[in-house]
Amino acid sequence: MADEAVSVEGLVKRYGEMVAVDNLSLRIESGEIFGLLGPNGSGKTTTINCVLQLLSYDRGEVAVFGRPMTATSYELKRRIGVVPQDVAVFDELTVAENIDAFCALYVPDRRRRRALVAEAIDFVDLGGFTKFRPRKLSGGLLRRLNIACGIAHQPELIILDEPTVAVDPQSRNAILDGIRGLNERGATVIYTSHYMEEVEQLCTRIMIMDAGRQLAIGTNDELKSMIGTGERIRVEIIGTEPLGEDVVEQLRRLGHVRTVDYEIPELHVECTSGAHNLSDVLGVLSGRGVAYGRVTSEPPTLNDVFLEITGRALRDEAA
Amino acid sequence: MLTIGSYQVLRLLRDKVLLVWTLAFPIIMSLIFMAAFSALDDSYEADPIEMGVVQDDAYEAAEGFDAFIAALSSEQDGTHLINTHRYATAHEAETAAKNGDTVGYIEVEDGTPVLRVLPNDSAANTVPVLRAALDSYEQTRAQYAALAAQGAGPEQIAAMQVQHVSTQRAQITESPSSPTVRYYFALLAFACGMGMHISMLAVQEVVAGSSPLGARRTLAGIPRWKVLAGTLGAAWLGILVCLLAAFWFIRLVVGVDFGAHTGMCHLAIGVSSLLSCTAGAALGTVRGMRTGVVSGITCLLSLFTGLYGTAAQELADTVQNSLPLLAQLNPLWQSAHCFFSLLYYDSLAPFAHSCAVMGAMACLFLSIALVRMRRMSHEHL
Ligand SMILES: Nc1ncnc2c1ncn2[C@@H]1O[C@H](COP(=O)(O)OP(=O)(O)O)[C@@H](O)[C@H]1O
Ligand SMILES: [Mg+2]
Repeated sequence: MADEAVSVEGLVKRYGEMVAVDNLSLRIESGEIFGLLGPNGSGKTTTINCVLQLLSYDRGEVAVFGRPMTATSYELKRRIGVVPQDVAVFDELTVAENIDAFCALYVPDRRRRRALVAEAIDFVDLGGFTKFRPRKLSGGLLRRLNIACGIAHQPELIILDEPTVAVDPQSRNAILDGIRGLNERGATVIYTSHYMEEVEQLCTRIMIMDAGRQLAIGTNDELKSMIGTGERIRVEIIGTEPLGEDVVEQLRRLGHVRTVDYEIPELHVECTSGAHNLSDVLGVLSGRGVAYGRVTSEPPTLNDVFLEITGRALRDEAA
Repeated sequence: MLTIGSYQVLRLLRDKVLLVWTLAFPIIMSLIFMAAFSALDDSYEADPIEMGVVQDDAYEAAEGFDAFIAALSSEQDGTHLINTHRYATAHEAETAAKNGDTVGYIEVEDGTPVLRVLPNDSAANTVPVLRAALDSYEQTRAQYAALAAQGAGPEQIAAMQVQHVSTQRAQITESPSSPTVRYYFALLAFACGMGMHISMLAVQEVVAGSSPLGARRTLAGIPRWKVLAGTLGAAWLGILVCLLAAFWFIRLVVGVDFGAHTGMCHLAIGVSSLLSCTAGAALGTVRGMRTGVVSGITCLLSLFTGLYGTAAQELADTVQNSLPLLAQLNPLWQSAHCFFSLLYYDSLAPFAHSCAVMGAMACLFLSIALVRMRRMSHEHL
């Protein structure tokens, strides 16, 4: 299958007794921005390194672009760009030299490289810093250099391992925009992170992992519909009297309502999936003559998904 | 590959700390040696000493000996070893020596010249030379008599004799170098050891398991051997240049004469740098290797090349004599010995042998490094 960028089948990686990746299977289509989401230590980097053959693994098969990936698959490697989790650049070389040095690992032709390097510098917006050494760059700029070094050869598959760790919000947004841009130019992207919001914003498909195991996989919406939690409604009660217990009880009896909390002056209602939750809740309040001010309704986030899934997993372990 | 190599060289040029260790440090040490030896060097010249000569019957009977003594005391350059004081009997000569008029006297006994000196520091450098001259007279006396019989004038023969002694003495050191040269050989070997830093770091930065940089470069889309060749080649070039710089600094600025085979010294440097490069590469594959450890190893091995003064030289000589194999296993000893053999032997055979041993060692280290690198690239990160 030509349009399958990466496929991993039954991958197992142990560090001694510790199982870092536990029977992981995974398919990534060409053109996706695939998110690998999991807390620190969940095995994201290990998975990536196994795919790249930087690590030996105990079991499993890895194919890239439909061909088995090995340590000497130079042709495949030329089509892959990696932005490692730890910034890995040469301290003694300038920004431009660094990008060129890494690009040279993929593109021997000097003239072609010159254009690629210029493009990469533009892309990460480091034009004003080409003569700087990495030591002189701030954390955000350094991360951008790290990215430029990984993508200068314009690979078809780009793997970014937590590229936004320790980056200020402004740089982070620039980086995320850049990744979208790469994807629009046709690159398949694998993006690992432990920041749910990022993955949620960026990725077309997401795998949630914990302790080396795949917990859930799907699009943003698919993942959210997997869980019980629906929208979260907050209502500010502005009446002179606090809400009566009977009103709260009536809200609890509504269909699709999971929990109701009342902490003066705010009412929190957590719903399961359902179409008319907000109007139902407000209908009850109006019917009881309760005056209310600001009303907000938030759809569920990946945070909810993760909490719910890992929560269940944790309970399973305890049992 | 060339690009990889040239960037590696560029990085080396900009790595000031590394350059201090591998380039500046040996040069600074050579300057320290120069300062320390400048006083010492003077004392190696054989100053003329006050010497008694017992001019009795035996003296007159010894063929050409008078001319020989005259040649030793002539003001002529290079052969002026003694200022002669003549005495009729051994007793008078002894009294004069005890009075301090002379440092000793020469007497002919049974046709053989005998040197009698009192323990005296000021004569310490000249006496051995004088002794060698007398020995030589003794050894070639027969030849000498024959020459005299053929009609050669005694003055002529004596001059030849002294000339012969000088050349003989020169041959021990091949050229009129001072014994301090040994320190500079040890220093070059030391520079060689420090050069291991360069290749050690280079290897650590190219092996996946050792550093993020190594991991990144393992992902290269060009064959691995090109990456390795470019990196190690550049490291070797770096070490070579550092060694050449140290060598020419010692040669030109410090003014040490490396003898007739200066050209061959470059070959020795080439082989030494190769050995240093491969040994460093092998060290680089040891997990958690740090520059401090490499410096430590270099300093320790340098002890057995006699870098740290007379005591160290004695230790080195002891090891060399009692456990020659152990001494020869020391790459720095081999390197120092290689320079040594160029200066101390007429024949190039010992030098060639030394180069061959170093070449074999380099091959061994390179194989270890390559095998280890291969293994580490697929091990746990
Ligand atoms: N070299 C190693 N030796 C032993 N355990 C390791 C090693 N590298 C990673 N681990 C363990 O493997 C697990 C997964 O690590 P990692 O893949 O780095 O997680 P993530 O990238 O998701 O933060 C962690 O528990 C970590 O402690
Ligand atoms: Mg990680």
